[in-house]
Amino acid sequence: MILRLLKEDIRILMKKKSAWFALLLFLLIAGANIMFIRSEQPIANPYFEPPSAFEYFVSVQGGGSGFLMLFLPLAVTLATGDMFIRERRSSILSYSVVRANTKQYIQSRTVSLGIASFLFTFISQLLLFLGTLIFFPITQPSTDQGIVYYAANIFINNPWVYCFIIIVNSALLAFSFSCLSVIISIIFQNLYVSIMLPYVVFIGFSEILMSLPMFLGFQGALFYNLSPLSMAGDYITKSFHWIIVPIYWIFVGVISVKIATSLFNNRFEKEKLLLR
Amino acid sequence: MSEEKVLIFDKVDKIIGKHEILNDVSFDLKKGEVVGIIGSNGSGKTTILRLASGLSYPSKGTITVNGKVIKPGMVGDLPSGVGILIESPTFMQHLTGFDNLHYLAKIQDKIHKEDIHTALRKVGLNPNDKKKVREYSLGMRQRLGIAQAIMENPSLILFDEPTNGLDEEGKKLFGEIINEYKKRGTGFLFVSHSREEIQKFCDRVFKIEDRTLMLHKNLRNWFIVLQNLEDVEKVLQLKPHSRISERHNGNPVIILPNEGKEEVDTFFQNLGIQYQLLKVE
Repeated sequence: MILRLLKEDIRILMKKKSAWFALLLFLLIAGANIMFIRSEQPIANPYFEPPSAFEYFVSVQGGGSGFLMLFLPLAVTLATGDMFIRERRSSILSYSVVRANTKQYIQSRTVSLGIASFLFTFISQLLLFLGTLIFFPITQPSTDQGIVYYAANIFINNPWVYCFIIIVNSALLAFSFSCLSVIISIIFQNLYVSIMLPYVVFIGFSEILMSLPMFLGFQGALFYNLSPLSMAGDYITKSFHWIIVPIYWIFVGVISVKIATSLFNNRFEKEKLLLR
Repeated sequence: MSEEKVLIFDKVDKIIGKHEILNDVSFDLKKGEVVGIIGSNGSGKTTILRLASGLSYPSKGTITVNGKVIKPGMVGDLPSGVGILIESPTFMQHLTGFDNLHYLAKIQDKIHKEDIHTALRKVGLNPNDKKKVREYSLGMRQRLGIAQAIMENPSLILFDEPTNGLDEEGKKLFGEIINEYKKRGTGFLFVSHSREEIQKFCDRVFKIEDRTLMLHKNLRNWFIVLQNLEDVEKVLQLKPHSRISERHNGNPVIILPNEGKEEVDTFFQNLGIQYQLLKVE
């Protein structure tokens, strides 16, 4: 059922104005971020080597002067964040539940929306990457660029693979974030709350974790590093093994699907889920 | 009409919070039969449909669809399927009618695009209409709701106030759909507050009284074809309110107004004359 629903979600996504708007906004913000990074570069320094396309692509993700990590979840919200709540607020959910068993349905629905968000982000990031390749020199990243600490050896030795890893990491984040939207849409029935609250939770929860070092001292650094916002892009300035970030988001995604399933069944049993 | 039972309610109770909505509700629905339930607002009519569709849990008793006891939330596992139209249907507003149905059809993947087109045409909607559902009138949304309930040819269809918002043409199409699906053996359970609507379409009618179901006489106009004028005279003598209608294939036709099915059958059997049912209104 996942594949069939995914096909439908992609079909709907292609026709959705807000999805195209999100893609355009994503590219515009990334473009603005690149211009901001360029504005910080030294002027009239003959020894300054212009960064490569790979460095620009990685720099905008987060950490230092990059701020795409803040916008990525918002882009996912604009593209797919309203899909489940609109279904829930209509008779479609009742019509769907009589066509499948509830567990199978909500699992397939959450995963298909997650994959649709994954693909949306993957394509958005890929377009951004292609853009940087078109506009900036495709040269080997500098060893003393001083930005990338996450899997730095891959970045230096194989920047193509590295950029692919970054794209996949963002797409995995989109999957998990989309699951969070489904969870919130199961709890709340208000359209605007269900669309915006996931972003507020994402930022709010990250801020809480990121403030823990203030109270816990050095031990709090782990919470800081593992906060969703940090794992959304700031991680490139952390010396993690490359596998840590994808594993983190896969773990969050799997847990989110399980929470969505059990919450959906619980609310269905209590007859608090469907329109009356 | 086959005796095979499509739906059985056996001593079903439904309690929500501290309120008892239904008490000891038992009835069945046979293949190709249309059963109606009437009752005042808030009497529990829609609750019966929600229980039959597995969208709600019975507090006591069992509900069987095509020989399988249904577990709420598991109705989709039934191979025969259940079609529902509960209260005013609302769809995904930003999609076309076809897109909404296509999305639902993909859940089971039992039918093709052509079947969705056919269902839409049956209810008088244009399958190629690019209009979004948000631009649909109440009647068009109701037609779309009926199309989604029938498109997969389920063995049991549950309708809640199905002619709400339908114009005369829509009601006529709806009647044609009922007749067509009845012939295929589909069982229908109707609930409505409109006695007239229920009497028009249903073979048997129940009324919700004091949280339980009571069999209600379904009084309709019966068009009966008789063999000769002598039989007509006999009927006119015994049923002074009956009247003569236009001949059918040369045979006389008599209308028996406001009668129940069992009464009509018993009347002609006792009279010992041959008769044929032409239509019921």
